[in-house]
Amino acid sequence: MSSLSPAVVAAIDDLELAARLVVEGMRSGGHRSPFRGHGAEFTQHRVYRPGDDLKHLDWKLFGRSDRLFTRQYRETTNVAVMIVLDTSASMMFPEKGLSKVRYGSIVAAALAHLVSEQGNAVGLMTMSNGKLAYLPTRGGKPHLRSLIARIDRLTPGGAFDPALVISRGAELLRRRGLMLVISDFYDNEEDARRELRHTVQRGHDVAMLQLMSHDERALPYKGQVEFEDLETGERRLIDASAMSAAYNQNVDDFLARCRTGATRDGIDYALVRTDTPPEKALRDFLLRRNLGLPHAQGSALASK
Amino acid sequence: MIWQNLWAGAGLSLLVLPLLIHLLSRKRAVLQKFPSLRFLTSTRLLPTRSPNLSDIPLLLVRLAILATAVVALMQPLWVSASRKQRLNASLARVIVVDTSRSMLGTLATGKTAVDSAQALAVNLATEASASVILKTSSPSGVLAGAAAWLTVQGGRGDVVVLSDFQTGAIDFAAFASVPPQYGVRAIRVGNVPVSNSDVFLQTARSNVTAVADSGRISAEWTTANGAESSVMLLFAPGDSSKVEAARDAANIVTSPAAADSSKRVAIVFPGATETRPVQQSATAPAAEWMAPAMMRVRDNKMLWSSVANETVEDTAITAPFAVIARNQSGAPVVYAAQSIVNGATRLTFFQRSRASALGSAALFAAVSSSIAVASNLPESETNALSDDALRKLERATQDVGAGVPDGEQRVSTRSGMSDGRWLWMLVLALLGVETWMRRKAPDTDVLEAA
Repeated sequence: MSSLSPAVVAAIDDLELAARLVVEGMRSGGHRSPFRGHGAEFTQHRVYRPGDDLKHLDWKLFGRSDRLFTRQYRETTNVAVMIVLDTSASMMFPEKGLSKVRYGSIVAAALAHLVSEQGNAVGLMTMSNGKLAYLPTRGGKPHLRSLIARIDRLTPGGAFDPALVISRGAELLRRRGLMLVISDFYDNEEDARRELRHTVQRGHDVAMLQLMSHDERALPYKGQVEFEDLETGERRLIDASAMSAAYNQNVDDFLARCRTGATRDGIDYALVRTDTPPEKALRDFLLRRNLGLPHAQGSALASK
Repeated sequence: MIWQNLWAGAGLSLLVLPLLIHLLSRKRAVLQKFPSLRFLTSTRLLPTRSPNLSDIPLLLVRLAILATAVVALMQPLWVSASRKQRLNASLARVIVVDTSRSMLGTLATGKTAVDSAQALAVNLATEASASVILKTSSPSGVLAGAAAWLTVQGGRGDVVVLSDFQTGAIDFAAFASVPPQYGVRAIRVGNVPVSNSDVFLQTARSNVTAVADSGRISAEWTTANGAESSVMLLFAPGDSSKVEAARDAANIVTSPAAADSSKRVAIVFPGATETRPVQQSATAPAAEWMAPAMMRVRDNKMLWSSVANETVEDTAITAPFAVIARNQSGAPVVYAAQSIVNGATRLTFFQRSRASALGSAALFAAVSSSIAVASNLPESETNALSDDALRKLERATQDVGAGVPDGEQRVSTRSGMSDGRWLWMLVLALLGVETWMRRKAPDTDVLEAA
């Protein structure tokens, strides 16, 4: 099946339909659940990360190789997946075409569809215009429809407090589960990283899907441009041509910080550009999780 | 291609305006909403005015608008083959009907030549797409106007003259003044009268009847058709032969002409018994014709030269009398006023020199000319132009085309003919494009960047 272009996906008003199309598009034969839990059925080893439960350390392997590995098991019980979606004003970019918030909504809905279809529980935590919006992790189609409808009704705007949203999401994951954070991670960078680290330390599996549009990655403007901050409304008159190199360097540094922070904290990281077909981005992300690749290799998804 | 308003091309100099505007305009900063300004640090801004032309496509559209408008103002006309064909299918015609007196003769059909000519003119008019009928007693005099009318119509045209073509009544030079691309037809209607008596009556020598009694002679100029023109002569008893001699002398030196019978004149010679009451009744001329008649007599050089050597007493002439002629020493010899003579109001000339003097004859002649009806001698002509001469006057109508002198220009002068309207429509369309481009301008920068 060929990939659905972002333009086609953006043209579909029905979020549930878009999510289903994305999910159908990313299917390629039989597959296992990409959401690994700690059930009885051993699946693979993975390099030990601080915070991993010591009871899952494979001491025999440690004796043979003198390296620490954690044993991973296929979840025999339902996995709880909490999706954290950033709907701040900065996610409304670009104004024309497929915005980051729409792209994130489609990805979130597709993930929820996938999770629910495989018998797992899925929940939603977000902040819209300063108010927390929450749906607990549950399974079943009625809940899935409710969750997708809630995503569809979200009104982007205002700022995003990642520390608050992530910490509340982690608290509401009653047992250890998976937290998927979909955001541009512009807001309160340090606080967000700290809360993500705390979430990992609580025993949850955490994945970062960092969204970035083509224009904010490449700054393709020239001449004098007056930029207006979507969140603060602040304006700044800039010679875009002269600024381009410095901007790219700043963005590269920012992305590098996000990636290395995620690596250090044992978080799955993927940089997703909104001009990438959503099902391709999801397939790559989930395939990498299935293969158990080291964390923070998601930059491959975000080729410049 | 014809440019009907070539001077409008000077408007092309206005093309420099958009160039200057684009050269001097300040670039607008594009407003762009952006997720975060955290990675955008302040930079040194470029000068907003650059030596390069800004927004070349918009400039080109604006130049095109101006140039198209100027070209439209120049009123271009493309003389295509189909347009020539359409124009050649039309014909503008001027029909000149001679209404001179010689055309009043009755034809064998019982109608006058003028009536026949007018009926024929109506028929000829229906053959043309545009026509005008000119009725005149002097066909040669209207040909220039006819040619001008044809020029305004554009396309093919001809002039048709309906006349009896009396010899001398047609001015060949006037026919030659009709532009060569227009046709000329001469159609003879009616015959020139074999006798000029009917016409000549109008211009015949006036008959003067002088009735003498003890103190005056009443000399009456009458025309053969009975119209009366009265010139009353008052003179001293015994001067009748002298006055008659002077009258005869006057008739010799002047062309005979019919007198207007409504213009009554009296000439008073020295010694006339009624001089005093006539002078006492004198007033300033009241009738409209009197002052011009006095002026014409006063301007008569023969009268002045004739009275120059007359010896008269230098007497002051006061109002209501006006001096008509003086001798060489400045003494008034002839003076005039409006007076009551024989119970009728007349323009009265007072002759102070002797009745036998040369000035008397000159005064007769001057008075006769001043009240004469203008003569029309050509109407007395009994010969007509030959058919061969008429054929030489005629020429065929030429088609519109480049091969004809001034042919294309003839097309252009046809009222309402210009291709400029299409250019104005193009200007409107370009204005729409220009408006769209102006509104689109901010996005254009971004697209260029992308």
